Amino acid sequence: MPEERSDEALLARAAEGDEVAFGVLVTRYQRRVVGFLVQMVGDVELARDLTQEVFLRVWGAAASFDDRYRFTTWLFRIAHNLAIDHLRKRKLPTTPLTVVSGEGDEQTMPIPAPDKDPMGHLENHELAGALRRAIEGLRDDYRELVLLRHFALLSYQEIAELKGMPLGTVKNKLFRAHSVLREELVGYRQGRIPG
Amino acid sequence: MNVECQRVQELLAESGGRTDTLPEDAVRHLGACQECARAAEQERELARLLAVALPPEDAALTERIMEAVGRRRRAQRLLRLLPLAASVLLVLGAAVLLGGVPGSGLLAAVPGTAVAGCLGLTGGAIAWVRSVAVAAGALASVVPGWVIWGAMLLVLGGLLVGRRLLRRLEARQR
Ligand SMILES: [Zn+2]
Repeated sequence: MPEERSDEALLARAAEGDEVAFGVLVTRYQRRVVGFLVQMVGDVELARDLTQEVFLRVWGAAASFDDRYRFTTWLFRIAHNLAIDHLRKRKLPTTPLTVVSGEGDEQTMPIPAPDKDPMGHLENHELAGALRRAIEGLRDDYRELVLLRHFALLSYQEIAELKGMPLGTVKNKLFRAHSVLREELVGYRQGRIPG
Repeated sequence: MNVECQRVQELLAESGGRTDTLPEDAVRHLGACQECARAAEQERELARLLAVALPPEDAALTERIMEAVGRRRRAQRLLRLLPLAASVLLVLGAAVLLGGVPGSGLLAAVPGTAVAGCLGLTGGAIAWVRSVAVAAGALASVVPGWVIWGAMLLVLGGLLVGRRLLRRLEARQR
């Protein structure tokens, strides 16, 4: 049976030491946090390590969660700050989103099957891959806002608060970032489809 | 691109290409402007692809995280016990220094059966307290006072450092 309790209710249980409730939160948000951090730091393994650290911090500070905020705003604030700290410390360059398999081959990151149609799946797979590369290629400030909006699912207002930016700036930057991404997708389709 | 088109396309970027949440004038503009209508279509596709661009579920990572949480929880419990353990040691040390609980002291003088009867303590527990008291008395007669004072200071220092470590650990998690 799917877990229907709200994030905040689960966090309140976790604050009392309920590891099962916390496990539900981890399962619910792990993909989004990994996806967000992979794009932020450009390294899949590092993103997995940082994801673990994010959830450990959430666990440790669950009792101090301010319930005036949404859980996701808080979760991704932690993830965002951790990624920024890490980038500052390491001055990491962004690298292609590839993982190294057991045989040492590089593979692009897999994406889930969105539907049962194999052709549609293939097309989605290709387009989503192209989109991830397009996100990687964005200016740093655009990329960060795109990730906060679409992977962390924060509202424009929440992003403005997190980044300490005027709401109008967030709107404008996201509009520009979307314009670039839309153009990339159109270009990708035109380059791929013969004729 | 004119100002109106930019305004409508900003709204479309925010809504993920959905038009049912747009203000009426923006919807009217969409009906009359091909460029914005195309942008709406592209925004919908972008929103759909962004939703599937996440990495897949990673059960191994979830397991790893939960194991780390379990370890962190056990470590926190141990750290929380530190003040209690230090307090017990301090009381014991002070008792030894003041000669309060040697074998012939008050506790040892109280009949085991009476204490057990009144306080519900078992004879075994009383015997254990007695042997600790005797051992402490013996220790006090062998170990110089300054060593015991030194040990107590060390315990106090450990207590303070432990508390600071615990606070730092908790602050780091925020
Ligand atoms: Zn227009």
